[in-house]
Amino acid sequence: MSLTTILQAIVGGLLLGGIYALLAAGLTLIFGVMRVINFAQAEFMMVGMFATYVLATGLGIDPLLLALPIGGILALLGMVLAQGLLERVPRGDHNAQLILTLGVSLVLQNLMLVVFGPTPRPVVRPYTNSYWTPFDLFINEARLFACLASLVIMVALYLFLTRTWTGRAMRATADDPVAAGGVGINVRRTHVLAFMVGTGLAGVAGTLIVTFTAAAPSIGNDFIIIMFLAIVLGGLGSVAGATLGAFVVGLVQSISGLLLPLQLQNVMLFVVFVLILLVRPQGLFGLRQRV
Amino acid sequence: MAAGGVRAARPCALQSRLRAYSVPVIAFVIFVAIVGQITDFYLSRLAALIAFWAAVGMTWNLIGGYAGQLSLGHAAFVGLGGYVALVLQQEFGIMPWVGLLASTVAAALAALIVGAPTLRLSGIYFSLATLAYPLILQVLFTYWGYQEALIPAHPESPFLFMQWRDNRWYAAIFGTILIFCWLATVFLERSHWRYLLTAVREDEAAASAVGINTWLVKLWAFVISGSIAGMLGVIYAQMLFVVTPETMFGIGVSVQALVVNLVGGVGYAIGPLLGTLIAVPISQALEAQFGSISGAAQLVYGLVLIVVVLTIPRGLIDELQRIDPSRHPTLGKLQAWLTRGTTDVTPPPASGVVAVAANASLAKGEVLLNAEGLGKAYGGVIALRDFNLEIRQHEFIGIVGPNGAGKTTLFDLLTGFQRPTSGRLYLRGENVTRSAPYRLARSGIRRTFQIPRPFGRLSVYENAMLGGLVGATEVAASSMDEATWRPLCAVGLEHLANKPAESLGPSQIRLLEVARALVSRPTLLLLDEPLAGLDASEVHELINILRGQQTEGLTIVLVDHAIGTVAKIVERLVVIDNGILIADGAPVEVTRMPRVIEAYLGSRWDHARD
Repeated sequence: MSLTTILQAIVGGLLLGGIYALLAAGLTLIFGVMRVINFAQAEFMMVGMFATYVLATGLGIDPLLLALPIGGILALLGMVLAQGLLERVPRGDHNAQLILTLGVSLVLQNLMLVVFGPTPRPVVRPYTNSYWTPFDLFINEARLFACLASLVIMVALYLFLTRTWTGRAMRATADDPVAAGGVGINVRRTHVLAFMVGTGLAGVAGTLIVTFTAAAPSIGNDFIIIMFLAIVLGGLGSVAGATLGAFVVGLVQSISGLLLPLQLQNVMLFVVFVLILLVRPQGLFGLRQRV
Repeated sequence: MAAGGVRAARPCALQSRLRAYSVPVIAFVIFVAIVGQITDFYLSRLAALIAFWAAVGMTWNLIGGYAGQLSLGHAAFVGLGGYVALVLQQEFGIMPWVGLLASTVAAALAALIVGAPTLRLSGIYFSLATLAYPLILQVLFTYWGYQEALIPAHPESPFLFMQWRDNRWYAAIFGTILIFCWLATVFLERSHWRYLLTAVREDEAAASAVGINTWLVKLWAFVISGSIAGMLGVIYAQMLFVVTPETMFGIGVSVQALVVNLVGGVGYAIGPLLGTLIAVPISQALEAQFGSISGAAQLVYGLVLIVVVLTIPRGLIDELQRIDPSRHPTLGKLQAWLTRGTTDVTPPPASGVVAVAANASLAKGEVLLNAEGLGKAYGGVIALRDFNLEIRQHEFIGIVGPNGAGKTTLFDLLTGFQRPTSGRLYLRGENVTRSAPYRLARSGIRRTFQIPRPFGRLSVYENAMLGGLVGATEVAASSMDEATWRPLCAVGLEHLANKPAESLGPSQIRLLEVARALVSRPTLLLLDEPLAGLDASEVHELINILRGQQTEGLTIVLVDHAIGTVAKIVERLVVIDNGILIADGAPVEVTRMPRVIEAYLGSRWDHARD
């Protein structure tokens, strides 16, 4: 195994991690604020991929320009679902919430299957198959752009959570909903908002991912464990932790590709997932602070 | 572990037992009679699927409902069972009947290996971990080349190879396992296992405080649940004939096990059966209706799921319980039956004897519990430093200190709820520093909690009874009822015996915790702020009870921050400040110590006295 191969795997892992960070941040934000494990998170990403496919191929708009508008559409979908479904069952009834997100996941996945069929729909752009080659490394431009865009959005999310009153209200609600209500924060509105931010981030991730991976109704299944692993690594509910966790997951996935046959790559992820849970359920980085 | 008293408390025990067990048997007879008439292929397949999913649902209900551990990976056992038998048959030509045995054992072993570490996790972490197990197996079996496994056909001997063309045979065999599961659940609900599992589900800390090894209880439930699910998987695979890792290990299997429970009612014997009778025909009808368009049936199923959760978030049975029974007389009976026919208990006639004889194994004054240099640090924060305390038999000790002084930490260390970072703990000379809370509880150390932890949905009587269900001082089955009533009468809660604990007021819950601790006839009773929230007369009453227990031989340690009140009632006063023991002695002397006054009132007051 040459140094270049290893470097290549590390760079590939970091690029992946940057994109996973968006998905994991959204999922962990929803958990942190609402205490809901959103099983439909990967399906929101998948819907974002299909929306990008339709707009990019139909109107010829570049997916990178579509990232924010589609994020907005997914946030609206998230608002409808949070208001119409999740906030209508008793808060703290985890079974009901779990089944609701599972139901949403089933509906979205199969709705796309009915509309688009099982054939993968790629969005091919000039950068999809071109590479940047510094130091003998092959860096896919689509992945690079996606990762950079993702990092910009992560910085924006960080500023939103720490510098705006809405963001602070969200963190306060995550910390203690009762106390948050006591100081005048509208907890219900904050819950809906957190869900919107979470689904919006998944939508953005979808537009970025579709530039190098074809959209397919079942694609969410490949991502859901990755997301869970990232947020568990980072300590459930911590956005900073989830971001770090996402990079670790990207690296594990990419490096295990060097050592294991392709089909077993995911086993490695699942095993790491279980081991982390068993050894350090509070997360690898001990980032105690919620959201 | 005995609970004979529970049974004895019920009138006409034999008759009620017969009635409880006869329902599943009658249901089975009806099921067989109906299935026998079906000749249509699809209808008989539907009957087989209903029996299969109801049985799978019941196995999930054991761990997910009764033990309260929301498993999202039940497919791991169904799939493993199916695949072990399948591989044995494909590779070695072993008959599925033998495979059935091998698969059951394999699934039980898998549950043991996976459950032992995973069941140490709590709540959401357990659920997330279970999500991964079937996925790992799915990838592995795909990798080993079983993407689409065809079971070797043996049309000549359907009985030997479980390969019937007639689905009714599958329906019959699933039906048999279903009835077995149902009867087992009825048995569980009528045995002390119901109380052990409910205690674990309601509050694991409180369960350990009454001496229950919560991990072991959960592990038993997990292994039994997994092994039967594995058995079901074998027959399911044979019925499907063409098997893919997705159909056996896929998230769909785990979700279906969960869904039939949620629709019917989690934690009820009949819940999964009710849920299956609704969910499976719907999904099959949808498949028949929209099967031609891929995804359409699943789409509608997802919508149905959402509507069901929104209309009956806690399942059909809970919904049924909410209807006022006074308007429908038969409904009342049905509700009583669904709530496991818990019979109300009546307090014994007042006998005046309210003393609960403690377990005095040592003579007065001998060292019972000995803490040597006990210390506890949370990261950089030191909560307790080099703490030495000898608790002697028959003593009544008060531990006081300002808020945050380390009192609750000390209690947690003395009862095993936390491990000390330094020092040792001896019980009757035996090193128990690393003993689990349930072990200490079983050796006669019982505690109450600063924030009371009753088993909310159990009745007051059941809460108290749980105190004596397990442990070294375990109460003999015959005297269980008496042992439960005595402390309940002593604290004056006998008139509320049939009320659920969650309906009690704050001071009554505190008294209930004291009663629960006393039922086990402990040697040492540790009370964490028992006087908080009690009014003057209640304080007086509780102190009288405690004094009475002390004269019977009980050793009591009481923690509070109100030094004035505590000094008046105890024989020995220990003062903690900033995690350090600053005084230990007779209350009169301790309250005069300058250091104690300083800790409580600040140094200014100390000077003012001079």
